[in-house]
Amino acid sequence: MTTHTHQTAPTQFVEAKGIRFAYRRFGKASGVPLVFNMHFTGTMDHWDPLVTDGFAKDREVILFDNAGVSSSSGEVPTSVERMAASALAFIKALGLSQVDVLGFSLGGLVAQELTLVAPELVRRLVLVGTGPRSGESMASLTPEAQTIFGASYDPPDHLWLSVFFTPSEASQAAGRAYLKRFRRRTEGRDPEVNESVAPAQLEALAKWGAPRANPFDYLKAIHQPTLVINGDNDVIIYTINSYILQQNIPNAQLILYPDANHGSQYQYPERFVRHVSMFLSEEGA
Amino acid sequence: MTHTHVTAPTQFVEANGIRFAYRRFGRDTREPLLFMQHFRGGMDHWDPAITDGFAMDRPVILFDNAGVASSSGETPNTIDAMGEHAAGFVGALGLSHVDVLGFSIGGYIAQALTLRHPSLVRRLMLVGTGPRGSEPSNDPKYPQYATSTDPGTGETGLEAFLYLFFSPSTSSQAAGRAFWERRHLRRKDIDPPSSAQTMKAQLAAIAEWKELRAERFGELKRIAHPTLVVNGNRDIMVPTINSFTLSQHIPNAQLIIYPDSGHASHFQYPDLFLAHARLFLDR
Repeated sequence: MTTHTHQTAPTQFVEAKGIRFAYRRFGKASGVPLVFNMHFTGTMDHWDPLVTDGFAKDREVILFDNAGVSSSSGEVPTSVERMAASALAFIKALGLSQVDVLGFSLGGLVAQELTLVAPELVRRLVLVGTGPRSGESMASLTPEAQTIFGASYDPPDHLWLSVFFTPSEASQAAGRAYLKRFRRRTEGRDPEVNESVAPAQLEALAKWGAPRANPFDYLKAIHQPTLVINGDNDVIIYTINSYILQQNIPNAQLILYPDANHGSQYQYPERFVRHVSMFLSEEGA
Repeated sequence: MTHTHVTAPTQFVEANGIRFAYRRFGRDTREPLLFMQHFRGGMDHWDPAITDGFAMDRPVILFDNAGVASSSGETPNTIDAMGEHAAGFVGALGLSHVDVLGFSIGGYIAQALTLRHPSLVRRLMLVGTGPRGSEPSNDPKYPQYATSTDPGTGETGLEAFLYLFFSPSTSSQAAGRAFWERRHLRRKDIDPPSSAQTMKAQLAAIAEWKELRAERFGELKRIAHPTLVVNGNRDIMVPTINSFTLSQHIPNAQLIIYPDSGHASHFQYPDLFLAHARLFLDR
Protein backbone atom coordinates (compact mmCIF):
# COMPACT_ATOMS: atom_id res chain seq x y z
CA MET A 1 0.00 0.00 0.00
CA THR A 2 1.24 3.46 -0.86
CA THR A 3 1.78 5.77 2.03
CA HIS A 4 0.37 9.10 1.07
CA THR A 5 1.69 12.46 2.21
CA HIS A 6 0.43 16.01 2.16
CA GLN A 7 1.76 16.26 -1.37
CA THR A 8 0.38 13.01 -2.80
CA ALA A 9 -2.86 12.38 -0.90
CA PRO A 10 -5.67 12.39 -3.47
CA THR A 11 -8.62 14.70 -3.01
CA GLN A 12 -11.65 12.57 -2.24
CA PHE A 13 -15.30 13.45 -1.89
CA VAL A 14 -18.08 12.53 0.48
CA GLU A 15 -21.66 13.68 0.43
CA ALA A 16 -23.57 14.99 3.47
CA LYS A 17 -26.46 17.41 3.92
CA GLY A 18 -26.53 18.02 0.19
CA ILE A 19 -22.87 19.14 0.17
CA ARG A 20 -20.13 17.30 -1.68
CA PHE A 21 -17.23 17.73 0.72
CA ALA A 22 -13.67 17.61 -0.63
CA TYR A 23 -11.17 16.03 1.75
CA ARG A 24 -7.80 14.34 1.96
CA ARG A 25 -6.97 11.63 4.44
CA PHE A 26 -3.47 10.29 5.04
CA GLY A 27 -1.08 9.17 7.75
CA LYS A 28 -0.67 6.21 10.03
CA ALA A 29 -4.07 4.58 10.53
CA SER A 30 -4.08 4.11 14.28
CA GLY A 31 -5.97 5.73 17.08
CA VAL A 32 -8.07 8.84 16.77
CA PRO A 33 -7.80 10.88 13.54
CA LEU A 34 -6.97 14.58 13.68
CA VAL A 35 -9.36 16.80 11.70
CA PHE A 36 -8.02 20.20 10.55
CA ASN A 37 -10.29 23.26 10.34
CA MET A 38 -8.97 25.97 8.06
CA HIS A 39 -8.72 29.76 8.39
CA PHE A 40 -10.44 32.60 6.52
CA THR A 41 -10.33 32.07 2.72
CA GLY A 42 -8.01 29.09 3.08
CA THR A 43 -8.16 25.74 1.28
CA MET A 44 -6.65 22.32 2.03
CA ASP A 45 -3.48 23.54 0.35
CA HIS A 46 -2.98 26.31 2.89
CA TRP A 47 -1.85 23.88 5.56
CA ASP A 48 1.87 23.47 6.09
CA PRO A 49 3.15 20.07 4.87
CA LEU A 50 5.71 20.06 7.70
CA VAL A 51 2.83 20.24 10.15
CA THR A 52 0.42 17.80 8.46
CA ASP A 53 3.12 15.26 7.53
CA GLY A 54 4.61 15.71 10.99
CA PHE A 55 1.36 14.55 12.56
CA ALA A 56 0.77 11.90 9.88
CA LYS A 57 3.82 9.97 11.11
CA ASP A 58 1.83 8.65 14.04
CA ARG A 59 -1.80 9.47 13.40
CA GLU A 60 -4.36 9.92 10.64
CA VAL A 61 -4.72 13.44 9.34
CA ILE A 62 -7.92 14.67 7.70
CA LEU A 63 -7.98 17.93 5.76
CA PHE A 64 -11.22 19.18 4.27
CA ASP A 65 -12.88 22.16 2.63
CA ASN A 66 -15.96 23.20 4.54
CA ALA A 67 -19.22 23.92 2.67
CA GLY A 68 -18.77 26.30 -0.25
CA VAL A 69 -14.99 26.50 0.11
CA SER A 70 -12.73 25.67 -2.86
CA SER A 71 -13.34 22.08 -4.04
CA SER A 72 -16.43 21.55 -1.87
CA SER A 73 -19.87 22.27 -3.26
CA GLY A 74 -22.59 24.43 -1.70
CA GLU A 75 -22.49 27.88 -0.17
CA VAL A 76 -20.44 29.21 2.71
CA PRO A 77 -22.84 29.69 5.65
CA THR A 78 -22.87 33.12 7.26
CA SER A 79 -22.56 31.86 10.82
CA VAL A 80 -19.95 29.86 12.72
CA GLU A 81 -22.75 27.70 14.11
CA ARG A 82 -23.78 26.57 10.63
CA MET A 83 -20.15 26.05 9.59
CA ALA A 84 -19.80 23.75 12.60
CA ALA A 85 -22.98 21.92 11.58
CA SER A 86 -21.41 21.33 8.15
CA ALA A 87 -18.17 20.14 9.73
CA LEU A 88 -20.13 17.76 11.93
CA ALA A 89 -22.04 16.40 8.94
CA PHE A 90 -18.77 15.88 7.10
CA ILE A 91 -17.13 13.98 9.98
CA LYS A 92 -20.20 11.79 10.47
CA ALA A 93 -20.33 11.07 6.73
CA LEU A 94 -16.84 9.60 7.08
CA GLY A 95 -18.31 7.21 9.63
CA LEU A 96 -16.07 8.44 12.44
CA SER A 97 -17.29 8.20 16.02
CA GLN A 98 -14.43 10.10 17.65
CA VAL A 99 -11.89 12.62 16.38
CA ASP A 100 -9.31 15.08 17.67
CA VAL A 101 -9.99 18.54 16.29
CA LEU A 102 -7.50 21.24 15.35
CA GLY A 103 -8.87 24.63 14.38
CA PHE A 104 -6.86 27.59 13.17
CA SER A 105 -8.27 31.15 13.31
CA LEU A 106 -11.82 30.98 11.85
CA GLY A 107 -11.34 27.21 11.98
CA GLY A 108 -10.76 27.57 15.73
CA LEU A 109 -14.18 29.17 16.13
CA VAL A 110 -15.71 26.31 14.14
CA ALA A 111 -13.79 23.82 16.31
CA GLN A 112 -15.17 25.36 19.53
CA GLU A 113 -18.71 25.28 18.20
CA LEU A 114 -18.31 21.73 16.93
CA THR A 115 -17.10 20.65 20.37
CA LEU A 116 -20.12 22.27 22.02
CA VAL A 117 -22.70 20.67 19.72
CA ALA A 118 -21.03 17.24 19.48
CA PRO A 119 -19.08 16.77 22.72
CA GLU A 120 -19.10 12.96 22.38
CA LEU A 121 -17.43 13.21 18.97
CA VAL A 122 -14.49 15.37 20.02
CA ARG A 123 -11.80 13.73 22.13
CA ARG A 124 -9.22 16.54 22.31
CA LEU A 125 -9.22 20.06 21.01
CA VAL A 126 -6.36 22.18 19.65
CA LEU A 127 -7.11 25.90 19.16
CA VAL A 128 -4.50 27.81 17.18
CA GLY A 129 -4.42 31.57 16.55
CA THR A 130 -8.02 32.00 17.58
CA GLY A 131 -10.30 33.50 20.21
CA PRO A 132 -13.56 33.36 22.14
CA ARG A 133 -16.97 34.79 21.25
CA SER A 134 -16.87 38.56 21.75
CA GLY A 135 -13.11 38.38 22.07
CA GLU A 136 -10.89 41.44 22.26
CA SER A 137 -11.21 43.41 18.96
CA MET A 138 -13.05 40.53 17.28
CA ALA A 139 -16.27 42.35 16.35
CA SER A 140 -14.56 43.39 13.13
CA LEU A 141 -11.13 43.00 11.56
CA THR A 142 -8.40 44.52 13.72
CA PRO A 143 -6.86 47.73 12.34
CA GLU A 144 -3.73 45.73 11.48
CA ALA A 145 -5.80 43.09 9.66
CA GLN A 146 -7.65 45.78 7.70
CA THR A 147 -4.34 47.20 6.50
CA ILE A 148 -2.85 43.81 5.73
CA PHE A 149 -5.88 42.38 3.90
CA GLY A 150 -6.49 45.73 2.16
CA ALA A 151 -3.06 45.83 0.49
CA SER A 152 -2.12 44.03 -2.74
CA TYR A 153 0.74 41.58 -3.07
CA ASP A 154 2.89 40.31 -5.89
CA PRO A 155 2.85 37.34 -5.96
CA PRO A 156 -0.57 37.26 -4.25
CA ASP A 157 0.42 34.62 -1.70
CA HIS A 158 2.89 37.08 -0.13
CA LEU A 159 -0.22 38.26 1.72
CA TRP A 160 0.47 35.43 4.14
CA LEU A 161 3.91 36.80 5.03
CA SER A 162 2.09 39.72 6.67
CA VAL A 163 -0.87 37.77 8.06
CA PHE A 164 1.08 34.93 9.64
CA PHE A 165 4.54 36.32 10.45
CA THR A 166 6.01 39.26 12.32
CA PRO A 167 8.14 41.89 10.57
CA SER A 168 11.33 40.52 12.17
CA GLU A 169 13.97 39.09 9.87
CA ALA A 170 13.76 35.65 11.47
CA SER A 171 9.98 35.50 11.23
CA GLN A 172 9.93 36.69 7.60
CA ALA A 173 12.57 34.11 6.69
CA ALA A 174 10.39 31.44 8.32
CA GLY A 175 7.48 32.84 6.29
CA ARG A 176 9.31 32.50 3.01
CA ALA A 177 10.22 28.92 3.90
CA TYR A 178 6.55 28.24 4.70
CA LEU A 179 5.44 29.65 1.33
CA LYS A 180 7.88 27.35 -0.44
CA ARG A 181 6.42 24.35 1.35
CA PHE A 182 2.89 25.61 0.76
CA ARG A 183 3.47 25.83 -3.02
CA ARG A 184 5.12 22.42 -3.26
CA ARG A 185 1.97 20.47 -4.11
CA THR A 186 1.31 21.23 -7.76
CA GLU A 187 -0.89 18.33 -8.86
CA GLY A 188 -4.45 17.95 -7.64
CA ARG A 189 -4.25 21.30 -5.94
CA ASP A 190 -7.35 23.01 -4.58
CA PRO A 191 -8.56 26.04 -6.56
CA GLU A 192 -8.34 29.32 -4.63
CA VAL A 193 -11.69 30.28 -3.12
CA ASN A 194 -14.20 32.23 -5.21
CA GLU A 195 -15.27 35.80 -4.43
CA SER A 196 -18.40 34.76 -2.51
CA VAL A 197 -16.36 33.06 0.27
CA ALA A 198 -14.75 36.06 2.00
CA PRO A 199 -17.96 38.10 2.49
CA ALA A 200 -19.82 35.12 3.99
CA GLN A 201 -16.92 34.24 6.28
CA LEU A 202 -16.54 37.88 7.35
CA GLU A 203 -20.22 37.98 8.23
CA ALA A 204 -19.81 34.83 10.34
CA LEU A 205 -16.72 36.29 12.05
CA ALA A 206 -18.54 39.54 12.84
CA LYS A 207 -21.51 37.71 14.40
CA TRP A 208 -19.16 35.59 16.50
CA GLY A 209 -17.17 38.61 17.65
CA ALA A 210 -20.15 40.87 18.42
CA PRO A 211 -20.40 42.00 22.04
CA ARG A 212 -22.82 40.16 24.33
CA ALA A 213 -23.35 39.66 28.06
CA ASN A 214 -21.10 37.19 29.89
CA PRO A 215 -19.45 36.25 26.61
CA PHE A 216 -17.02 33.67 27.96
CA ASP A 217 -19.48 31.57 29.98
CA TYR A 218 -19.98 29.14 27.10
CA LEU A 219 -16.34 28.06 27.38
CA LYS A 220 -17.07 26.42 30.75
CA ALA A 221 -19.01 23.77 28.82
CA ILE A 222 -15.90 22.65 26.93
CA HIS A 223 -14.71 19.75 29.07
CA GLN A 224 -12.32 18.27 26.54
CA PRO A 225 -8.61 18.55 27.27
CA THR A 226 -7.70 21.61 25.19
CA LEU A 227 -4.42 23.03 23.97
CA VAL A 228 -4.41 26.72 23.02
CA ILE A 229 -1.49 27.92 20.89
CA ASN A 230 -0.56 31.27 19.41
CA GLY A 231 2.24 33.65 18.64
CA ASP A 232 3.08 36.25 21.29
CA ASN A 233 2.19 39.05 18.88
CA ASP A 234 -0.88 38.00 16.88
CA VAL A 235 -2.22 41.11 15.16
CA ILE A 236 -5.07 39.29 13.37
CA ILE A 237 -6.75 37.79 16.45
CA TYR A 238 -4.98 39.45 19.34
CA THR A 239 -2.90 37.15 21.54
CA ILE A 240 -4.83 38.11 24.68
CA ASN A 241 -7.74 36.13 23.21
CA SER A 242 -5.70 32.93 23.52
CA TYR A 243 -5.10 33.80 27.17
CA ILE A 244 -8.85 34.36 27.63
CA LEU A 245 -9.57 30.94 26.08
CA GLN A 246 -7.11 29.29 28.47
CA GLN A 247 -8.50 31.09 31.50
CA ASN A 248 -12.09 30.08 30.76
CA ILE A 249 -11.89 26.57 29.32
CA PRO A 250 -11.77 24.29 32.39
CA ASN A 251 -8.99 21.98 31.18
CA ALA A 252 -6.84 24.06 28.86
CA GLN A 253 -3.11 24.44 28.46
CA LEU A 254 -1.67 27.54 26.74
CA ILE A 255 1.53 27.81 24.72
CA LEU A 256 2.67 31.12 23.21
CA TYR A 257 5.67 31.22 20.90
CA PRO A 258 8.16 34.10 20.77
CA ASP A 259 8.43 36.69 18.00
CA ALA A 260 5.43 35.17 16.26
CA ASN A 261 2.21 36.44 14.75
CA HIS A 262 -1.02 34.68 13.71
CA GLY A 263 0.75 31.71 12.05
CA SER A 264 3.13 30.71 14.84
CA GLN A 265 2.65 27.01 13.95
CA TYR A 266 4.16 27.67 10.52
CA GLN A 267 7.07 29.58 12.02
CA TYR A 268 7.93 26.77 14.44
CA PRO A 269 6.43 23.72 12.69
CA GLU A 270 8.61 21.07 14.38
CA ARG A 271 8.16 22.52 17.85
CA PHE A 272 4.43 22.87 17.23
CA VAL A 273 4.05 19.26 16.06
CA ARG A 274 6.04 18.10 19.07
CA HIS A 275 3.99 20.08 21.56
CA VAL A 276 0.66 19.08 20.04
CA SER A 277 1.69 15.43 19.70
CA MET A 278 2.70 15.39 23.37
CA PHE A 279 -0.68 16.83 24.22
CA LEU A 280 -2.66 14.44 21.99
CA SER A 281 -0.86 11.37 23.27
CA GLU A 282 -0.73 12.69 26.85
CA GLU A 283 3.00 12.04 26.93
CA GLY A 284 4.22 13.19 30.30
CA ALA A 285 0.76 14.04 31.56
CA MET B 1 28.81 6.86 42.45
CA THR B 2 25.88 8.65 40.86
CA HIS B 3 24.12 10.91 43.30
CA THR B 4 20.46 11.82 43.28
CA HIS B 5 18.30 14.43 44.92
CA VAL B 6 18.09 12.28 48.03
CA THR B 7 21.76 11.28 48.29
CA ALA B 8 23.72 14.28 46.97
CA PRO B 9 25.85 15.61 49.83
CA THR B 10 25.57 19.22 50.88
CA GLN B 11 28.80 20.97 49.93
CA PHE B 12 30.08 24.45 50.61
CA VAL B 13 31.86 27.12 48.62
CA GLU B 14 32.92 30.58 49.67
CA ALA B 15 32.13 33.81 47.79
CA ASN B 16 31.36 37.42 48.77
CA GLY B 17 32.16 36.45 52.36
CA ILE B 18 29.32 33.93 52.34
CA ARG B 19 29.71 30.20 52.81
CA PHE B 20 27.17 28.95 50.28
CA ALA B 21 25.56 25.54 50.80
CA TYR B 22 24.90 23.67 47.58
CA ARG B 23 24.32 20.23 46.09
CA ARG B 24 25.46 19.19 42.66
CA PHE B 25 24.44 15.97 40.97
CA GLY B 26 23.51 14.54 37.58
CA ARG B 27 25.29 13.63 34.38
CA ASP B 28 28.26 15.72 33.46
CA THR B 29 27.01 16.59 30.00
CA ARG B 30 25.34 19.75 28.75
CA GLU B 31 25.00 23.05 30.56
CA PRO B 32 24.54 22.93 34.34
CA LEU B 33 21.06 23.94 35.48
CA LEU B 34 20.96 26.20 38.52
CA PHE B 35 17.79 26.23 40.62
CA MET B 36 16.68 29.40 42.48
CA GLN B 37 14.18 28.74 45.22
CA HIS B 38 10.91 30.36 46.37
CA PHE B 39 10.18 32.48 49.47
CA ARG B 40 11.57 30.86 52.65
CA GLY B 41 12.54 27.75 50.72
CA GLY B 42 15.83 25.88 50.71
CA MET B 43 17.37 23.01 48.76
CA ASP B 44 14.93 20.48 50.22
CA HIS B 45 11.88 22.28 48.84
CA TRP B 46 12.47 21.19 45.24
CA ASP B 47 10.68 18.25 43.69
CA PRO B 48 12.94 15.18 43.29
CA ALA B 49 10.82 14.16 40.29
CA ILE B 50 12.03 17.34 38.59
CA THR B 51 15.61 17.60 39.82
CA ASP B 52 16.35 13.91 39.20
CA GLY B 53 14.59 14.17 35.85
CA PHE B 54 16.92 16.94 34.72
CA ALA B 55 19.89 15.15 36.31
CA MET B 56 19.46 12.27 33.87
CA ASP B 57 21.18 14.32 31.19
CA ARG B 58 22.74 17.40 32.81
CA PRO B 59 24.30 18.63 36.04
CA VAL B 60 21.77 20.02 38.49
CA ILE B 61 22.84 22.58 41.07
CA LEU B 62 20.67 23.44 44.06
CA PHE B 63 21.86 26.11 46.48
CA ASP B 64 20.81 28.25 49.40
CA ASN B 65 21.34 31.92 48.70
CA ALA B 66 23.03 34.16 51.28
CA GLY B 67 21.58 33.72 54.76
CA VAL B 68 19.06 31.09 53.65
CA ALA B 69 18.89 27.74 55.50
CA SER B 70 22.39 26.15 55.45
CA SER B 71 24.22 29.13 53.95
CA SER B 72 25.98 31.63 56.17
CA GLY B 73 25.55 35.41 56.25
CA GLU B 74 22.48 37.58 56.19
CA THR B 75 19.77 37.52 53.56
CA PRO B 76 19.91 40.93 51.85
CA ASN B 77 16.74 42.97 51.46
CA THR B 78 16.84 43.62 47.73
CA ILE B 79 16.45 41.29 44.76
CA ASP B 80 19.48 42.87 43.09
CA ALA B 81 21.70 42.03 46.06
CA MET B 82 20.38 38.45 45.98
CA GLY B 83 21.22 38.36 42.27
CA GLU B 84 24.78 39.52 43.04
CA HIS B 85 25.14 36.74 45.59
CA ALA B 86 23.91 34.20 43.04
CA ALA B 87 26.49 35.52 40.56
CA GLY B 88 29.20 35.24 43.22
CA PHE B 89 28.16 31.67 43.95
CA VAL B 90 28.22 30.64 40.26
CA GLY B 91 31.64 32.27 39.87
CA ALA B 92 32.96 30.47 42.94
CA LEU B 93 31.98 27.14 41.36
CA GLY B 94 34.21 28.10 38.44
CA LEU B 95 31.33 28.08 35.97
CA SER B 96 31.38 30.59 33.12
CA HIS B 97 27.64 30.20 32.41
CA VAL B 98 24.63 28.19 33.47
CA ASP B 99 21.00 27.62 32.60
CA VAL B 100 18.78 29.06 35.31
CA LEU B 101 15.41 27.97 36.67
CA GLY B 102 13.92 30.55 39.03
CA PHE B 103 10.71 29.88 40.93
CA SER B 104 8.68 32.72 42.47
CA ILE B 105 11.13 35.06 44.29
CA GLY B 106 13.80 32.84 42.72
CA GLY B 107 12.38 33.98 39.38
CA TYR B 108 12.81 37.62 40.41
CA ILE B 109 16.41 36.87 41.36
CA ALA B 110 16.92 35.00 38.09
CA GLN B 111 15.78 38.11 36.18
CA ALA B 112 18.09 40.34 38.22
CA LEU B 113 21.00 37.93 37.66
CA THR B 114 20.30 37.82 33.92
CA LEU B 115 20.02 41.61 33.62
CA ARG B 116 23.15 42.31 35.68
CA HIS B 117 25.28 39.42 34.40
CA PRO B 118 23.90 38.55 30.97
CA SER B 119 26.89 36.45 29.93
CA LEU B 120 26.55 34.22 33.00
CA VAL B 121 23.17 32.89 31.84
CA ARG B 122 22.59 30.75 28.76
CA ARG B 123 18.87 29.96 28.97
CA LEU B 124 16.33 31.14 31.48
CA MET B 125 13.25 29.46 32.92
CA LEU B 126 10.86 31.64 34.95
CA VAL B 127 8.30 29.63 36.88
CA GLY B 128 5.41 31.07 38.93
CA THR B 129 6.92 34.51 38.87
CA GLY B 130 6.54 38.02 37.51
CA PRO B 131 8.29 41.18 36.39
CA ARG B 132 9.29 44.16 38.53
CA GLY B 133 6.03 46.03 39.11
CA SER B 134 3.97 42.83 38.98
CA GLU B 135 0.23 42.77 39.48
CA PRO B 136 -0.09 42.03 43.21
CA SER B 137 -1.92 39.14 44.79
CA ASN B 138 -5.38 40.05 46.02
CA ASP B 139 -5.97 36.77 47.81
CA PRO B 140 -7.23 37.52 51.33
CA LYS B 141 -5.52 34.55 52.98
CA TYR B 142 -2.20 34.87 51.20
CA PRO B 143 -0.32 37.21 53.59
CA GLN B 144 -1.20 35.22 56.69
CA TYR B 145 -0.57 31.78 55.14
CA ALA B 146 2.68 32.82 53.47
CA THR B 147 4.23 33.89 56.75
CA SER B 148 2.72 31.13 58.89
CA THR B 149 4.98 28.57 60.54
CA ASP B 150 4.22 25.04 61.65
CA PRO B 151 5.74 24.91 65.16
CA GLY B 152 6.58 21.23 64.66
CA THR B 153 8.90 21.84 61.68
CA GLY B 154 9.67 25.54 61.77
CA GLU B 155 8.48 25.74 58.16
CA THR B 156 5.28 26.40 56.24
CA GLY B 157 2.77 23.69 57.15
CA LEU B 158 0.99 21.37 54.73
CA GLU B 159 -2.39 23.11 54.88
CA ALA B 160 -0.95 26.53 54.09
CA PHE B 161 1.31 25.05 51.45
CA LEU B 162 -1.52 23.27 49.62
CA TYR B 163 -3.62 26.43 49.73
CA LEU B 164 -0.83 28.66 48.43
CA PHE B 165 0.78 26.44 45.77
CA PHE B 166 -2.08 24.35 44.31
CA SER B 167 -5.61 24.93 43.03
CA PRO B 168 -8.55 24.00 45.26
CA SER B 169 -9.63 21.12 42.98
CA THR B 170 -9.44 17.55 44.24
CA SER B 171 -6.89 16.57 41.61
CA SER B 172 -4.63 19.55 42.26
CA GLN B 173 -4.75 19.04 46.03
CA ALA B 174 -3.94 15.34 45.54
CA ALA B 175 -0.99 16.33 43.34
CA GLY B 176 0.11 18.70 46.10
CA ARG B 177 0.10 15.95 48.71
CA ALA B 178 2.00 13.64 46.33
CA PHE B 179 4.61 16.38 45.92
CA TRP B 180 4.79 16.82 49.70
CA GLU B 181 5.64 13.12 50.04
CA ARG B 182 8.33 13.32 47.37
CA ARG B 183 9.88 16.38 48.87
CA HIS B 184 10.26 14.66 52.24
CA LEU B 185 11.98 11.58 50.80
CA ARG B 186 15.35 13.01 51.76
CA ARG B 187 15.82 12.47 55.48
CA LYS B 188 19.56 12.82 56.03
CA ASP B 189 21.78 15.87 55.61
CA ILE B 190 18.77 18.14 55.23
CA ASP B 191 18.59 21.91 55.45
CA PRO B 192 17.48 23.61 58.65
CA PRO B 193 14.40 25.85 58.22
CA SER B 194 15.24 29.30 56.97
CA SER B 195 15.38 31.97 59.66
CA ALA B 196 13.07 34.80 60.65
CA GLN B 197 15.77 37.15 59.34
CA THR B 198 15.51 35.51 55.90
CA MET B 199 11.73 35.84 55.85
CA LYS B 200 11.85 39.50 56.86
CA ALA B 201 14.54 40.38 54.35
CA GLN B 202 12.80 38.48 51.55
CA LEU B 203 9.53 40.28 52.32
CA ALA B 204 11.36 43.60 52.08
CA ALA B 205 12.95 42.52 48.78
CA ILE B 206 9.56 41.43 47.39
CA ALA B 207 8.10 44.82 48.41
CA GLU B 208 10.99 46.63 46.73
CA TRP B 209 10.45 44.51 43.57
CA LYS B 210 6.96 46.00 43.30
CA GLU B 211 8.45 49.52 42.90
CA LEU B 212 9.00 50.77 39.37
CA ARG B 213 12.40 52.25 38.52
CA ALA B 214 11.64 53.42 35.00
CA GLU B 215 9.09 52.51 32.36
CA ARG B 216 7.06 49.55 33.61
CA PHE B 217 8.42 46.28 32.13
CA GLY B 218 10.98 48.27 30.09
CA GLU B 219 13.99 46.35 31.44
CA LEU B 220 12.55 43.04 30.19
CA LYS B 221 13.43 44.05 26.63
CA ARG B 222 17.09 43.72 27.62
CA ILE B 223 16.71 40.02 28.37
CA ALA B 224 17.86 38.66 25.02
CA HIS B 225 18.13 35.11 26.32
CA PRO B 226 15.86 32.32 25.15
CA THR B 227 13.35 32.23 27.99
CA LEU B 228 10.62 29.81 29.01
CA VAL B 229 7.87 31.23 31.23
CA VAL B 230 5.72 28.68 33.06
CA ASN B 231 2.82 28.97 35.45
CA GLY B 232 -0.47 27.47 36.56
CA ASN B 233 -3.68 29.07 35.38
CA ARG B 234 -4.72 30.16 38.91
CA ASP B 235 -1.64 31.42 40.71
CA ILE B 236 -2.97 33.27 43.77
CA MET B 237 0.47 34.46 44.95
CA VAL B 238 2.01 35.87 41.79
CA PRO B 239 -1.12 36.14 39.64
CA THR B 240 -0.91 34.28 36.33
CA ILE B 241 -1.31 37.45 34.26
CA ASN B 242 2.27 38.32 35.32
CA SER B 243 3.54 35.30 33.40
CA PHE B 244 1.67 36.52 30.34
CA THR B 245 3.27 39.94 30.84
CA LEU B 246 6.76 38.42 31.10
CA SER B 247 6.23 36.57 27.83
CA GLN B 248 4.90 39.71 26.15
CA HIS B 249 7.93 41.81 27.06
CA ILE B 250 10.91 39.43 27.01
CA PRO B 251 11.75 39.36 23.30
CA ASN B 252 12.50 35.65 22.99
CA ALA B 253 10.12 34.11 25.52
CA GLN B 254 7.84 31.13 25.17
CA LEU B 255 4.92 30.87 27.60
CA ILE B 256 3.32 27.70 28.91
CA ILE B 257 0.32 27.80 31.24
CA TYR B 258 -1.00 24.57 32.73
CA PRO B 259 -4.64 23.85 33.55
CA ASP B 260 -6.25 23.60 36.99
CA SER B 261 -3.09 24.54 38.86
CA GLY B 262 -1.57 27.26 40.99
CA HIS B 263 1.86 28.67 41.82
CA ALA B 264 3.53 25.24 41.73
CA SER B 265 2.17 23.92 38.43
CA HIS B 266 5.56 22.29 37.78
CA PHE B 267 5.18 20.26 40.98
CA GLN B 268 1.68 19.26 39.86
CA TYR B 269 2.75 18.11 36.39
CA PRO B 270 6.43 17.21 36.90
CA ASP B 271 6.68 14.87 33.89
CA LEU B 272 4.98 17.26 31.51
CA PHE B 273 7.02 20.18 32.83
CA LEU B 274 10.23 18.18 32.42
CA ALA B 275 9.34 17.25 28.85
CA HIS B 276 8.56 20.88 27.98
CA ALA B 277 11.62 22.26 29.78
CA ARG B 278 14.01 19.78 28.18
CA LEU B 279 12.61 20.53 24.74
CA PHE B 280 13.26 24.18 25.49
CA LEU B 281 16.76 23.76 26.95
CA ASP B 282 18.04 21.38 24.29
CA ARG B 283 16.56 22.96 21.19
